[in-house]
Amino acid sequence: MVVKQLSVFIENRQGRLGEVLDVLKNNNVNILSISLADTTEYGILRLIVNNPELGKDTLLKEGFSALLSDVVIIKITHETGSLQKFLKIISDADISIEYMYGLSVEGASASIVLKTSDTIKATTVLTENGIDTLSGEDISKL
Amino acid sequence: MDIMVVGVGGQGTLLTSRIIGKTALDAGYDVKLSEVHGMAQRGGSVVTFVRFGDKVYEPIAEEGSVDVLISFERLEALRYAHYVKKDGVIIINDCRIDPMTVVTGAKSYPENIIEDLIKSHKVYSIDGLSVAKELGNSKVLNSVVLGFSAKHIGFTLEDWLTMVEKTVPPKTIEINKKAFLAGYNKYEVFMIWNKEIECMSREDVTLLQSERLVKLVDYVYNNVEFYRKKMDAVGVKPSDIKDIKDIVKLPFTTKDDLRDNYPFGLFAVPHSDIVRIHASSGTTGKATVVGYTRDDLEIWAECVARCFSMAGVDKNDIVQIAYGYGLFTGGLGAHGGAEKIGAMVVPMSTGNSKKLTTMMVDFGATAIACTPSYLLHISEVLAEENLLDKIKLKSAICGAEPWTEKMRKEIESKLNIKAYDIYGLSEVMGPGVACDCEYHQGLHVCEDHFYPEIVDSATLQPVAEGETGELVFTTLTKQGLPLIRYRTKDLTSISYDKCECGRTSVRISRFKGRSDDMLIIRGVNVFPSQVEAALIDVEEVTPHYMMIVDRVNNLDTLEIQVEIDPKFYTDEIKGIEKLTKKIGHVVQQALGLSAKITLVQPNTLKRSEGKAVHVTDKRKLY
Ligand SMILES: [Zn+2]
Repeated sequence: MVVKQLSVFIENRQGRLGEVLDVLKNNNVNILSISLADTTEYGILRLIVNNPELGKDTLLKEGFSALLSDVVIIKITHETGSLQKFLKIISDADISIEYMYGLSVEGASASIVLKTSDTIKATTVLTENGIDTLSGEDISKL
Repeated sequence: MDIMVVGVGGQGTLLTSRIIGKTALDAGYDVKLSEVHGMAQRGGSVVTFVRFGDKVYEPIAEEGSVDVLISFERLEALRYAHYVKKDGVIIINDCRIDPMTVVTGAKSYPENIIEDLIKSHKVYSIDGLSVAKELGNSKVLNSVVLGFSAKHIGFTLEDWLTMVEKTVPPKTIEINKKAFLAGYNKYEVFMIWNKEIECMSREDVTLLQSERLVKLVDYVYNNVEFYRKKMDAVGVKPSDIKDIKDIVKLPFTTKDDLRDNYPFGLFAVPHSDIVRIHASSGTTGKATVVGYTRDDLEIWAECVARCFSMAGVDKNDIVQIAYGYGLFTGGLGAHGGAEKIGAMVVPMSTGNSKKLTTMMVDFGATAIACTPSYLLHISEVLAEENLLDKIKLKSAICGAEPWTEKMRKEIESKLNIKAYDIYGLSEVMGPGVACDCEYHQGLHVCEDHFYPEIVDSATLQPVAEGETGELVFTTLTKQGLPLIRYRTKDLTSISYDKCECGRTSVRISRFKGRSDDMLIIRGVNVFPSQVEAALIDVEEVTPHYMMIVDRVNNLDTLEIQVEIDPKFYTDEIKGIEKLTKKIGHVVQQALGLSAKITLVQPNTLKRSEGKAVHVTDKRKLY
């Protein structure tokens, strides 16, 4: 399933990250996972939230550059080689991975947020190979 | 200050040192005077030291530390030259007295002493005996030589004359004073390249300027449609211009006029007569193009030669030109003048500090022409490489960007050299329009070619002498691109007083700012409007921007902050990196200057009411 990820452009200045988080909190947007890709001057904050549309709208209204992009979230079990297994499936399908980061969920399994060159195709091949992906609905319930 | 007076017994060296010592004492200094080889009998070598300062402990100066060596004889100068420090001065009374070894034939008297000393030192020579004889008394030789040396030692002319009066035998006071003055007036710190013009009386300058203006106005009216229309519009005919005072009747020319007539619209000659093109940044998009005829280039070299002479550069010098060569006028302009002087010219251009410092040491370069900030950077490179004591540099001719007196002092002390300010702008010619002399009391304008006016930049009315306003130039002799009352936008004032250096040419003061928003970054003229125009082509950013200019390690830095348009935001680092690069490229193309591009969040750059503030200049240049 395709999930909407919220990302925000922030300058690498003190307090900028806090401002974004405040905006989300004040609008009851819950953050389930957060990842910051940064350079010396700026960073891109990537978020999995319970209500991405609302998150984006409020951030834009507050003057931030924010957008939604499609990602896949995969459940993986804590057993050796499970990560390699799905990476192989994806690369065999000629899909490249732009970036990935973990989604903190309690329990025996972990989830990985995955941005690929082709989200639809990635979802399809993963499902065909019996790998579970989370839906937006799953996320909002977390 | 350490003075060493040497000569042959009987030449009056002792009296000379005593006058120097007493003058210093009267001026409130601690003075130590010592006679080293005290064999003052006729024919023997006589050496005295005069040291003065707040407190002097040792009476005798060490080798390599003397500021001024005054030698009454050629061979004696050679014998003691090693006492003189690197930027010290040797003053030679040009005469030959054979020592015993030469008289007996044991040794021969060296040839070309002065020519050889010039290679390593600043040397000034005078035939003191002839001057003394002209005054009718060969015994006043020492006063002539002292007068000739006085400007290098310091003190006022009055101090000196008072002391001469007190020290010499009463009957010889008048003749010694006369002798002192004769030497004093013979003295010229540096050669004046074109004495006839640079020291011309005000009346003669005015006559020359009037004659040239009349010709120029006729020339542009008949050869440049733009000027004909402009003059017709205000109802001025060439015949209305009869002398230089009539210049106020003529309309002004601006950089925008040059842009509107891009590229060659204001040229007064056919392209076949143009032999060189230079260009500088325009206010927006298009460059300002300047064309030179062969005669224009000749006059340019003449003006630059005058400037280099003011900085003490002559044919014995090895000059590194470290301005950019190319469309920018700095490199080739300075080059032409240095060649005209006959110096050994090293066309370094910019961009390779390591090569520059290596060659500075290996070639024994004695002068450099570059931007002041670049020279400060060079001084750091030299310090890092432990080369500071290996250079032979004496003077620097710096320009192409505004700089302060503080920067001059810094350059001079870091490199142990003298630094001079050269001014010019490409529209008018390039470097060499004006330069300051060793007195640093404003920049002498080559006013036989460039007529300066200072006007109020709002009313465009002339301001009184000494008052600050916008500098306006009329090119009196230019053929390719003659300019009538060109507004430079540089703010300065003007002085017609005769300078201590002997030049009578009008001087403009150090610049006090600009009447427009042009910045000079790393010697490149930059208008914020250029950045604005360039950013319009980048759809991913908003039209808001902020330029931050600073100086880090003596090199100008330019940062341009732009707001990313939310519509074009990407969530990938590489996308943003690509955008930064793209903007960087666009800016580089527009300014001819690389800038650090920083993307900022939308709506974060200051929006000011009315005229937007687009620049933060942290350099404090004025
Ligand atoms: Zn002067």
